[in-house]
Amino acid sequence: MLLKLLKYDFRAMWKQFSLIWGAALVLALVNRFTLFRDAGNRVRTDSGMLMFVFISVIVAMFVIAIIFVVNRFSKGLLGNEGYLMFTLPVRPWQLVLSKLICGTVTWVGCGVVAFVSPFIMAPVNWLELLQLSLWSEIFTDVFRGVMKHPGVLVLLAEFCLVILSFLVLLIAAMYLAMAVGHLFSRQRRLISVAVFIGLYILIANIYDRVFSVRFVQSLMNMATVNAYGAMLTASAIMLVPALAFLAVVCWILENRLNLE
Amino acid sequence: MDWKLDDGRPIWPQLSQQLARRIIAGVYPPGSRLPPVRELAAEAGVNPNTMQRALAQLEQEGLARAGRTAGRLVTQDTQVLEAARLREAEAVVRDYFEAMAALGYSRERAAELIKEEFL
Amino acid sequence: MSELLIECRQLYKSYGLRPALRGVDLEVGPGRIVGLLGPNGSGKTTLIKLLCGLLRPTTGSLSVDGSAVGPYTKSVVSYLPDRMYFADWMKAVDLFDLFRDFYSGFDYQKALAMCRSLGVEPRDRLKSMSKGTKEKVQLVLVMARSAKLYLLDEPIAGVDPAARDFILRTILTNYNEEGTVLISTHLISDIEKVLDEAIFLKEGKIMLHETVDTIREKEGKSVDALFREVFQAAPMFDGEKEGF
Repeated sequence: MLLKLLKYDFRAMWKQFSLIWGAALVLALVNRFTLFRDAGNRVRTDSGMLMFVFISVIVAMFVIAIIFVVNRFSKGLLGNEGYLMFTLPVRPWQLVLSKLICGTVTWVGCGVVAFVSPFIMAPVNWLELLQLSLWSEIFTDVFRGVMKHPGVLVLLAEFCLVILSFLVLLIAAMYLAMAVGHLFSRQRRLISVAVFIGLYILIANIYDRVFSVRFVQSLMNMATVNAYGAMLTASAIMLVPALAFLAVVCWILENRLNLE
Repeated sequence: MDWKLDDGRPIWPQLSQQLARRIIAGVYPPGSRLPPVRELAAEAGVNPNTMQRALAQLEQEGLARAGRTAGRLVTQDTQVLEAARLREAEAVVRDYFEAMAALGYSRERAAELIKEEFL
Repeated sequence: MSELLIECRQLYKSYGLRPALRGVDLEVGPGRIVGLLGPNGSGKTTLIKLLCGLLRPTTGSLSVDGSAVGPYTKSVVSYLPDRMYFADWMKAVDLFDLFRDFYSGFDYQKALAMCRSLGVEPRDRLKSMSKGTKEKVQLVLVMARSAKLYLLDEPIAGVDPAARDFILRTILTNYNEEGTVLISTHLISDIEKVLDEAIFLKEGKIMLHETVDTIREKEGKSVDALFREVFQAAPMFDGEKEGF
């Protein structure tokens, strides 16, 4: 059932983001040819406009991604669409998990697009570059290096995990804020915003305290010696409250749902 | 022929009465198959269970019987049909006298009026 | 499997301090068409939302087809809410796909056939449809399922009499025969003929639960007339007092 839910969440996401991502990548490509290369190989001044458009699209993409995560939850579950979703033969946690996964993937997708497009835009002729014999050497070197220190890959994976944990924590806090807002009969939005700010302050405070405790500090010191442990600890510190938030969200949806 | 249902009485006897009238009038000829319950119910805009009950009443009266496979057949027994026709006719006559009594006519006077109309 | 499709024991539901249901005991068997009748605010929608799992009871117990409300009961309940519930970017066929995915008893071909007979083009975007057409799509979704319990919340409110007849006929010809249909409404005269049983709900309590035939036999009047008497006696009395 979770897979089916994901199918529909991703379909809704793709509907919105295929366009935005496509536009960002196409603009990057257009910029690559207009921005850096005219006949005299000088930077053209009139292409500043296109660059501005490109940056706007990237900024808009992230704003839309945030709104998307908020709307998929507030409208898709707590709004009229909730009448459909909560009468499907699934558990509320499956609904939440599906939205959470889709939201996280959306944000990662935006990050990837934002990361890749400058490369597309760079005034480099990738075809020529790839044909250089240099590449085979670089690849074999990198390959050899990784084989010698396979830990690098683990570190890379752990780094991704840290980023994912952070995104999950952020989305979980947003969901919790909206779910708490839903408990009230009026001013739901205002309360949601207040709760989100409250959660932010709470997390920041708790982290301050946690990190000032000597025990944890020594743990962290130990961890800095061992980078693998440091990143895992960081992930855990973010995932534990995220899971707690999600548990409260599921409880609210299961027991205190009140669609109007 | 439309279905007429009034408010003060249970629905199923009204339905069975009107079905009986249809049979007597030959809308559903002797030996023919009655439409399925669902179809009749949808046509009359009533609950299928209610229509079922009305049809069961017809079976009780001998006007219809369960078919060998599915559905119900209208009886071919002319005696039963005649008896039903007479029952309905008597009801019409009763209604006539009641209506006339409401207008202040005695039974005798009402009967005379009918005769005059007939002649 | 249970003999009873709906079983409520001392069901209470309040929103904050405001009570909506105040001790409802109810038993409904399979294969019935039941009218849930009451004025606005009597708790009809609350009872239906409890049955389909959109609300949790404050106290009391509730079971549908012998199980507590959960994924199983949701898989055998087909619910028509009193509002539109779908995303605008979808087409009717997208919703059919979704229902086919989630509900095993959804009959895709039947849904398409119902669309044809209702004059709805299932490949149109919902955004471009009129309110009445959207309502029809929603009715198709609900009636194309083979469910044990159909919960229809005010299906005929706000539509013209011709559409009303059409909707009732659609319900009558499409519900699954072992299924029970619970219809909430305050327009009783229109649906009285299709009901087996009537439930009168007043201020969160069940005042009467009787078969329509019994009501007509006992009271010598239609359910509609009885309803008017039960629910409008008080204001008329007040009116008289003021008059004198």
